[in-house]
Amino acid sequence: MKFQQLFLSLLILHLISACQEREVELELPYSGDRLVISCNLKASEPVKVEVSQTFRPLGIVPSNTRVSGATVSLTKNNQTTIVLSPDGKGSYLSDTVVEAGAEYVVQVIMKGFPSAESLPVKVPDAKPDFSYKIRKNVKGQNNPNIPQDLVSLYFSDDKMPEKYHLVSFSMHYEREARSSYWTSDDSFTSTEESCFAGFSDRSGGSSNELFLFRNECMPKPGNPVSFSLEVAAGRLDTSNNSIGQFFLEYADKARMRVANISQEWFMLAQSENRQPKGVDHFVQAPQETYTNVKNGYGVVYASNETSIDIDL
Amino acid sequence: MVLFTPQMKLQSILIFSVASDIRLFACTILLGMGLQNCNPVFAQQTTVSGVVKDAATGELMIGANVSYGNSPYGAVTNQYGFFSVTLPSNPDSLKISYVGYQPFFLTDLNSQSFPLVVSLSASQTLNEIVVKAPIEEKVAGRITLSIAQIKSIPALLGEADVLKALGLIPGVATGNEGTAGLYVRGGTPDQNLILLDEAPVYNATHLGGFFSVFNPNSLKSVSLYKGAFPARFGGGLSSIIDLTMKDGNKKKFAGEIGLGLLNQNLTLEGPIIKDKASFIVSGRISTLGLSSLIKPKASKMGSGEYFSYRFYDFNAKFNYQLSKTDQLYLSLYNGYDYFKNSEWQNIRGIREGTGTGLSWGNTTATARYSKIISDQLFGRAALIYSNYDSSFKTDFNQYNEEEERLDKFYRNTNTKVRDYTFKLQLEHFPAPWLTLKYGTDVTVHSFRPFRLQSNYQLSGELPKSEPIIGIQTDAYVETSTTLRRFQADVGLRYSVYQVKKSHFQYPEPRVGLSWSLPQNWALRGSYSVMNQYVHLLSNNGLGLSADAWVPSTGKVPPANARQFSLGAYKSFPKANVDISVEMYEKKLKRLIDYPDGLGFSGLLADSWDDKVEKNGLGRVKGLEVMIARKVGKLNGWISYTLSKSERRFENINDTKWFPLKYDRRHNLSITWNFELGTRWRLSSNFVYQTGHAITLPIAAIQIQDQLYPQLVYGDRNNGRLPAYHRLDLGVTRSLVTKRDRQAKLNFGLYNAYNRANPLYYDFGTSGGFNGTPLEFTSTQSSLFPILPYISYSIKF
Repeated sequence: MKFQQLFLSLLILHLISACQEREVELELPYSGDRLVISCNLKASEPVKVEVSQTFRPLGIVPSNTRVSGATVSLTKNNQTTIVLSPDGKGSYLSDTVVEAGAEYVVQVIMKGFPSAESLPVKVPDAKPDFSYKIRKNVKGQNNPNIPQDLVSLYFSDDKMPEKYHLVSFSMHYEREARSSYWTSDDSFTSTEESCFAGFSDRSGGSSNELFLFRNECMPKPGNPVSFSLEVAAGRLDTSNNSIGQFFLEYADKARMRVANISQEWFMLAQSENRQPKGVDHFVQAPQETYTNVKNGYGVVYASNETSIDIDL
Repeated sequence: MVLFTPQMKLQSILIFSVASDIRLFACTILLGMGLQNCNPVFAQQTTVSGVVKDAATGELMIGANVSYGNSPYGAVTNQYGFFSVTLPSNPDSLKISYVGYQPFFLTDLNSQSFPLVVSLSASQTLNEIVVKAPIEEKVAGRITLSIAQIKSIPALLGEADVLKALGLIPGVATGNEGTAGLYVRGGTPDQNLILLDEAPVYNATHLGGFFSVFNPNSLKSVSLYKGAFPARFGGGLSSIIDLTMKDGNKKKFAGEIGLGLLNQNLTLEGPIIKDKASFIVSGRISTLGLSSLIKPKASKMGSGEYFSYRFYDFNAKFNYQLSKTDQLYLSLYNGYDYFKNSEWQNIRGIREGTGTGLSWGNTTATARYSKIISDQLFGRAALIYSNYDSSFKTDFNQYNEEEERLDKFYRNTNTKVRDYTFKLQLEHFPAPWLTLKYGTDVTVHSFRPFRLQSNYQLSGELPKSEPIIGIQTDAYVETSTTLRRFQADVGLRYSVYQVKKSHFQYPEPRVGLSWSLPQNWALRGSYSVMNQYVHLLSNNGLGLSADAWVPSTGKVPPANARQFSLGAYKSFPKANVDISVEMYEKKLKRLIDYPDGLGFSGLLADSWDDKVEKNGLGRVKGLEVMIARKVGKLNGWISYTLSKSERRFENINDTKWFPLKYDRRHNLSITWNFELGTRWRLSSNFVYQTGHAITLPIAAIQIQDQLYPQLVYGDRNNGRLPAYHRLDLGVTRSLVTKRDRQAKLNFGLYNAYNRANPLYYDFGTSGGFNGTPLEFTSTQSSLFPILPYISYSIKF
């Protein structure tokens, strides 16, 4: 009988205690303030390094996290060091142009923060060597109702010592520029996650979608890497009635960026792509955020880029 | 004057017991060396052997007790219902008993036939005294659950589940909400060797892991070994789950139909030749229309989406008694899950469709022959086949208005593991205090983890499709010695594994000890070494098809675990209550894990063993408490585990120790049944678990030219979710139909107080436009709210 009473008491106890549902707030551990270095060392262009600081991963994102007043230096080939000039808004500049094939280290010293230093980053030796062809009005594999052109890039395989590349297209309209293109199934059929990565940036003031890939995953020599470009955008004309009418606005031109990039850029893009989103968390743990900065965060990477305007 | 307190009296009894048992243990060692004249107990002996059966069905009974007088020596029937007991020259009688059955007393032993066949009849008050709690064996770490108990636990959608029931045992933690993967003593689900009639089942889950493939209606017994592993078992680092299928009713034709929310099931059994041959077939199929629960999405704009999901499993067993001493068994299992998602759109007369399909399943077959060779020797041989395969398919089709196919692209990724095993074992009962088991197993594993079929060119390197053959040979000796109050199960297993050019061989010593003390106390201890020669590459713990079994290689040698445990056991016979406390420590080595930034598909290559993190270490320690009331109107058990399970890898968290994802510091479950008269039964199940480990962001950064800030995640598993707790309530109504058939109506509530248990946290950003500030958000997602269930079964 005592045993039955014990069981019943336990049952009542856990029924009562369990009914006290309460909000649970996560206490996110904050690692403390660290310096964040962002830099794309573009061959033949002046150096620009941006320095900001970490912030708590909770609540409203601070409008300005940039760090002014730091001492930022750039060391080339472990020999010459130049100190960059601050612009007072968190950017540090130099008229010195980035040298293709050179290796750079960025160092940032700021009172109140641990000194941060990037690992050595090598600027790609050369611009990509390639030719391209355009086929007009192809049937798109995605969004087939939007007119598309197929751009095929033929890389000179023997002149591709770099392992990582970038291709991007920006379609220029009267009032905006937008990235809208698809990799063609003919050339990029593999979905191995170690081959490709997407990357978004806002360089040049507009949002750009970049396609990064390893040359190990490229088609066999002689086969092109192809992209379907959406050469028009759907617009809504509401000048005649409130419901509006769809029409197609054709782009004036497409700007093609092709670059050899350092491994660090590709690693950063992959790191972002692999972060679980939404229900992904059910099956996948968050990935370590890629950084090549010691005692801090951020990424220093390099590129050697060609930009071509394509008339449509 | 010296007063003897009760404690001092107990101490003196203990001291004498120790001295006596040490003498006997030394004698055992000498006997093992061939000094037979050391036997201090029996001068003249009589051996009685035979099988124990259920009188109503003819089912062989596993674990029935055979004893005489107050002697500590006796026997327990093995997996084939066989026992052999050697007795003093003229014992009065032999008692054969099984909980829930009327004991059978055998007299005039000298005139009994060989082999003896004992039939036990169920107790008249069966409903009250049928076992409703786990039965712990004398040796530590071994527990058996009755099928009646498994069926009486309130379950998700009313689906009685063998693996989930085992999750209520001390030392066993569960993974995500509702899933059937078990984390035994700090291990992972792939470290559990699950055997169905001795055949390994590599993926034991339906519906993406939400419940197990084992149909309770087809099972006779479920045993969990989490420590003191018998030497006859090998290959699972953390546990052995041994499931035995029913033989089938040898007396009369019978069956059961069950209607549930998730599946319908049918079981048929009966004699082929009365008392000589029988069969049982049992199958489950997913509820018709289950797919429609996932509503198809369609639109008038010429596009649509379609989901379909179905599963089934099928068990069959046939047995034939060739003679009084010889018996044949054939067991079969087949079960598969299928999921398909299709999307299509119709544009300018061209119809395009893309499809994604998943399927996974197991097939096992076991042919066994058993023979009672003599009154002291039992032999068995088995041929075993096991196949697990899974497939992930994608396709793209294009049709014109005339329904002519214009284009088709497809890509199928298959993984498969197939085993062929031969087992031979002899059980020898040379003395009343000694049982010997020795045998050998030979297994040929065929792994095909990365098979790819596609009709379009891939630019990357194609994974190879040749099978990888691994051959495992094991030999073992197992001794069970009972000397007065002391029982020692000592064994040695020796494994040799050959795969490609790699060769591994390891001895695996096993020791399980039990020492019975006065006043129904017992002390227990164990030491086990286990090796595992297969590894699971999986993208999650869900049991979805996206997983592949691979063999150990030269770069990734077999994983190893060493476990030590010590415990105490106290029985209160009047109250029918048993209490056990056990602590354990386990060291693991040569473990593998995912490197940061590499998912499952990144491992799908022959070079997987270069990519995984290897040579990992594990350390686990814990304390387990169980209070069980096996029989009575109010029965059930309380289980509590305090444990810590950690891992260490060279390239994860800077070589620091980190918690295993499902490391649960506290794990409590309370499971009880209350028989309300003869027709009603109330049941409840409460679970409390420390929240599992998760990786939390430790900072945020804004990188040049990027649109949104990024979260910086810290060390792996640096945080925890809030605690998981849930109450399930169930009611069972026993019915008798007009045609005098027994039926049961089950209904209840899963998650009765609607606890929103967190499944995961999603971190992201919101706002940042139209003047709203950009803000970090953390969203908690939960899976199952309060869920009612109902099921109905009828026996005929």
